[in-house]
Amino acid sequence: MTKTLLKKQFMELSRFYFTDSKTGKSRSKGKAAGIIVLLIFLLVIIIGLVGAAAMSVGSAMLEAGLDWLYFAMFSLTAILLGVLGSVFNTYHSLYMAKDNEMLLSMPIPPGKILFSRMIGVAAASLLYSSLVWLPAMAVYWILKPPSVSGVIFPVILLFALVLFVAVLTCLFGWIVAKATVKLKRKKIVAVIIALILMGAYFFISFRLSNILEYITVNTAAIGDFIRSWGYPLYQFGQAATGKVVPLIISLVIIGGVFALTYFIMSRSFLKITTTNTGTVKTVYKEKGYVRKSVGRALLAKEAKRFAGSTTYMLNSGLGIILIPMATVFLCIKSSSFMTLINELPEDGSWGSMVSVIIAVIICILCSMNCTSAPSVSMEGNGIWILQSMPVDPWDVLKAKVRLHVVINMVPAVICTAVLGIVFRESVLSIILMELAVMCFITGGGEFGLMMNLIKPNLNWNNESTAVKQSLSVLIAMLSGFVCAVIIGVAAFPAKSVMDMNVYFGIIIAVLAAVIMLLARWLKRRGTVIFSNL
Amino acid sequence: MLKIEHLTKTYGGVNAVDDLNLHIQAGEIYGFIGHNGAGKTTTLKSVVGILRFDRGEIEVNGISVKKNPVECKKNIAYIPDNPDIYEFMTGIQYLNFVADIYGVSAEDRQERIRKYSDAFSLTADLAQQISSYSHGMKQKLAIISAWIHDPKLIIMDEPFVGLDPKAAHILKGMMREVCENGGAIFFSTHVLEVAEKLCDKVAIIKGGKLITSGTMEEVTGNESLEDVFLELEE
Repeated sequence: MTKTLLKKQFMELSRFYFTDSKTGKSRSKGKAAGIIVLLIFLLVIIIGLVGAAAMSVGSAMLEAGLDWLYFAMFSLTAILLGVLGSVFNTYHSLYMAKDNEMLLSMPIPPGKILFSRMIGVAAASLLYSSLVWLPAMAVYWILKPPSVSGVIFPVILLFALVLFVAVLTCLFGWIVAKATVKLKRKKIVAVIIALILMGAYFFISFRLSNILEYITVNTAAIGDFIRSWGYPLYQFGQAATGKVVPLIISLVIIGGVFALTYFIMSRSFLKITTTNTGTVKTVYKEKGYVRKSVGRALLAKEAKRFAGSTTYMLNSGLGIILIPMATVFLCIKSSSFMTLINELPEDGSWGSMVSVIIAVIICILCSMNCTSAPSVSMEGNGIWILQSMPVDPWDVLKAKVRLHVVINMVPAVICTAVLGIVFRESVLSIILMELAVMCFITGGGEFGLMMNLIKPNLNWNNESTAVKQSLSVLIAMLSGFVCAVIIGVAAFPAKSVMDMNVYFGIIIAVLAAVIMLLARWLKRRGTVIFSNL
Repeated sequence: MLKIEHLTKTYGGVNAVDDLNLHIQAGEIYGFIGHNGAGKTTTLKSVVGILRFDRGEIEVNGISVKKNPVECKKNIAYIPDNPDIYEFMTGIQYLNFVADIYGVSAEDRQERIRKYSDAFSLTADLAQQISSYSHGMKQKLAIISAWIHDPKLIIMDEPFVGLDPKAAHILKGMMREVCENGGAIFFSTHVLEVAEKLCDKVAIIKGGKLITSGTMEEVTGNESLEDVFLELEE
């Protein structure tokens, strides 16, 4: 029975890669391979970036003979990324899955359903943790040719690692479930708890440079501290270097923690999933209504969907919070930032780069806000509503892009202007920065929508599948990130041959052309795809 | 009102609907019956323009679904077999959304919402999130939303599923009222007694092909619809 449940769980996870959501049939081998190759290509880019960081940290630590500390550090980072990648979905995938009722009505012990879901969470976080652990492993092997156990053990530990990630995220989901089981406004509480966690994460991230500096200076002292106070972490690090006893200890500890977590959670799983407190009862009172145009009605509908889903908001709208946070941070640190710029070589010309750097930072944060990328998939089984209505599909698609633009534009435009003023940019520069950011946002929204039309997923049990486990979202976000970085990197050679305002002009012209091309595709091809979904 | 000519829809080489011809006049309640997988839903979805068909033509009031879908859909309302409606909205938000899309004036929508939600005893729940609705309540809301723009042709796929006897009775009255006002109803059902009592005409489909159609008397003669259906299905 457990095997069957796990098979179902993995089918759900792999469904996207191997099943065509339009026909419900298996994708051809060629298409599935294409998707996997594309995914690997994107992952290689990220892994390369992490690998570079591992190389610089690793050589110092390995020289000091602290191989275990190297692995201990990267295991912590992998756990952090794994938790961040899956924590917002865990509550929904454990307790709010659409098939909970169906499975609970069958003669299946609830604990087995929970177990399969926990393994599903671990499998989902494998992708995120691998992004850190695999390059760390590879770099270690490059720096120090490993033994056979040195190759096999870190691979085994990757699976132990994601099991531990599952423990942490499932506990988080369980706490949210326990805290909200008696509440009627579950969504608000879940968002608040998630935001508190997010705040804590970013606080640590902002302090990361100080932490790394501290680690570098006090490597030996930290090593001693972890050895005495962080015994499991020490053993984990030792195991990754190829030692047998630490491997057994690590596996026993993680296995034990997982079993204990499962035991605690399984005691309340049935109660939580079957407790229905209902919602806040509001009796309808008739009141006047101002008729909306079709465009406004569709936009309002998209906004309601966005605001009505914590998964959608937290996974596709984090930039709304991050943009003002980064702006406040940069305003506070503006003098340090300018000092750094002025200390850089080729003094003088770097000052002109500030406007580009600001625009790139805002664009990177905007690329985290890709509401259009899962917007078609989010229609799910209700897609018939828009398809059967007398609306031009182009109006429907425009509404999806508009929501993306509105959500990004408000914080991005305000924060760009604030930063432009704080960093004493000219009026012309600020206007050009704003235009570049606006074009970037619009193009990003169109591109995300195009990706989702090409790779929609309308058949899901849990909306986090549409939002999180979606190739369109992954591609849209990474493409936005890469595009913003290219804009920043290209400015370096450009600054020696042209004024930055001219550079901005070129970027705006290029982005405007991309916007028009994407709009043309959406209008001609996208509308046909949408009508036939 | 509705003209379906030589409708053919193929899935993977198999004809789900095969050269189907049907004409529905204003004032008619037309029942569409057949076994599971006979091609009823495929036909209904093709009529409302949410499924592209391979061959044939469908016209509503002389407007082609294929050539002018938006204009055609203005005359139609559709209720699917499973009322998957926007759970992130409240009942009233959903009704207003549908009314906005169809361009229904504030006064008309208010009057219709009042009339139909009172009839279905749904008024007090309109401020509730649809996610908290039962299947029957969602079905009632889907029905009200279909009636909100006063459509000329209403297409329904198993509309009585999930409705309590009182709501089913009210729906039958609403269907009759549409026809009395010059509209038409085309709906699928497995409840043959309902079809027999309610429909002016009936069509039976099997394996994507129309076996028989016509007035109830023409199709059944002296037998019951159930007997005729079972004979034809054999």
